[in-house]
Amino acid sequence: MPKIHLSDWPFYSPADLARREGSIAAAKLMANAAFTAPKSGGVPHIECEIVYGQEEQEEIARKVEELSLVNPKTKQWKVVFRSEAIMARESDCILFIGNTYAGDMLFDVDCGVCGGSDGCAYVYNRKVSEYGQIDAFESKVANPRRLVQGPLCSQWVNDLGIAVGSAAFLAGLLLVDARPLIGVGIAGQKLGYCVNSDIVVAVAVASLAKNPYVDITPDYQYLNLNRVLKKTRKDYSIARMVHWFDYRNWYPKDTGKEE
Amino acid sequence: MSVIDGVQAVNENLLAIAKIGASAALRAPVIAKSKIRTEIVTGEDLAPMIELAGIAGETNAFVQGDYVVAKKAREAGTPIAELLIGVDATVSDLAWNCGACGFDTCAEFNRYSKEHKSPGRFMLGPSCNWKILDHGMAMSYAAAAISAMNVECRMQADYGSFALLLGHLEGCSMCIGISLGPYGESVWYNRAGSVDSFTMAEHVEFMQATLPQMFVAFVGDGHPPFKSGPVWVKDPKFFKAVDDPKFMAKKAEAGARIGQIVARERAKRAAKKQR
Repeated sequence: MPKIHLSDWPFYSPADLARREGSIAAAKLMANAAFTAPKSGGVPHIECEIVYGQEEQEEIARKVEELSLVNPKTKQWKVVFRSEAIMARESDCILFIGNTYAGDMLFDVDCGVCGGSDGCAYVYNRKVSEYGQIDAFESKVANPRRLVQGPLCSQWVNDLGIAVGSAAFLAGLLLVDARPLIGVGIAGQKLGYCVNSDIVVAVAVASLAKNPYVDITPDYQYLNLNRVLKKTRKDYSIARMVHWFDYRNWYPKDTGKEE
Repeated sequence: MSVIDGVQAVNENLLAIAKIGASAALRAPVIAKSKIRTEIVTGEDLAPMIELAGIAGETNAFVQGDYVVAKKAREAGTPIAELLIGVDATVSDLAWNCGACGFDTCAEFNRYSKEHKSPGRFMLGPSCNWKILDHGMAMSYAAAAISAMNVECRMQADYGSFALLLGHLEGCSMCIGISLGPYGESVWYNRAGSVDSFTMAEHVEFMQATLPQMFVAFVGDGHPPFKSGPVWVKDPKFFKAVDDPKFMAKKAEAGARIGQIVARERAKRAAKKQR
């Protein structure tokens, strides 16, 4: 009879990859929850992408690290982004949820959330628009310095929050660890995930003994598990050879020990 | 031993379920340091909100539908409970400078917001979009928790906006209400209260205004006629944007009545606070 062996060690071993399949299955259901979440007018406004794999997650983590330097005057930004880069590496998979309407297809209800009494004109006047429509291309590229191409229709942003919350809530019911991560979402969007979206949130997913998204140490970039393992490998390699022990010919005496 | 009527028990339980929703909202993930606030409104304290919905619903079909369900639930002795979830998103304390609000820096946004903070049709703005996202996550957690208890619920921006007008969750710029109950299957979908609420003629007129492209005939001669009937060519009509002073006057009059009720209720709240 076939068997599936599941384990969380070593990383990316066949047993660990088999274990990650469960998180990926959970992420797919979480995407479903994002799609069915309550939304304004029942309008289909989101897209999802699930990304997993050592290479892909490493690429995302490096992008998060790169972005950690864009706000040098905001210390908390660097702390958040450097920490979330590690979380990206340690996750089983990452679910990206993006909103495809917020930048160029406004809800048009003049709710006031984005701009107050200006209503929807707050966004239309700040983007390239004609015929009551926003230029979809220019909306995405007009301000290359900005991490997010705002302004956005906040009605849709609220709906994105509802979708993300729905996904995260289901994760709790499925007993997998999951957390929305702002740094990973922005990095993922910059890398081209959820390419049709104007704002993207990442929900990192993992099924590990310790939730990788909570109870981390300060200066996590120095004191995370991968760093500890790398250091241990170095220290062990050096320590092992210090005594130049020839195991074939002798064994150290127990000096000071009674027979 | 006592015998408890099931309908009565379910509806008396709405407050307990609303509390579960509130606790879920406060437990939801927060990524932008948002202070999520909640309030539960039941019984007679809900009456002004429903009254406002009735007036606004005279010129707004969406709100009318929300009004009818709440009104009929009250009349049946199974009133809804309202869980309000709000946030103040008009100030950014993040210094993320992400651009999502339309400004390059949070400082620029805060300066603009200080000068231009004002109400739109429903809520106040401008807003930091990450705080709005946090609000959405809180809403979702609450609705999911309530739904998991097998209680009908629906997120409604109109009740949220009426709540803000009446002085609930003072200080919040964004507030959405989750209506809980009344008991039943899908009371907020395929709404029983909408029976005979419109005629076919009204429905067709609404569709023509909403999807005019479906009713436009041949466009090639540059002046497309409107398919007013099966033989539209005999009585050609054409689409044109026109003023509707009768509708706008009705809206203004309803707005004035809403203003009076808001003033009345705010005065009551102020008097109650002083006591």
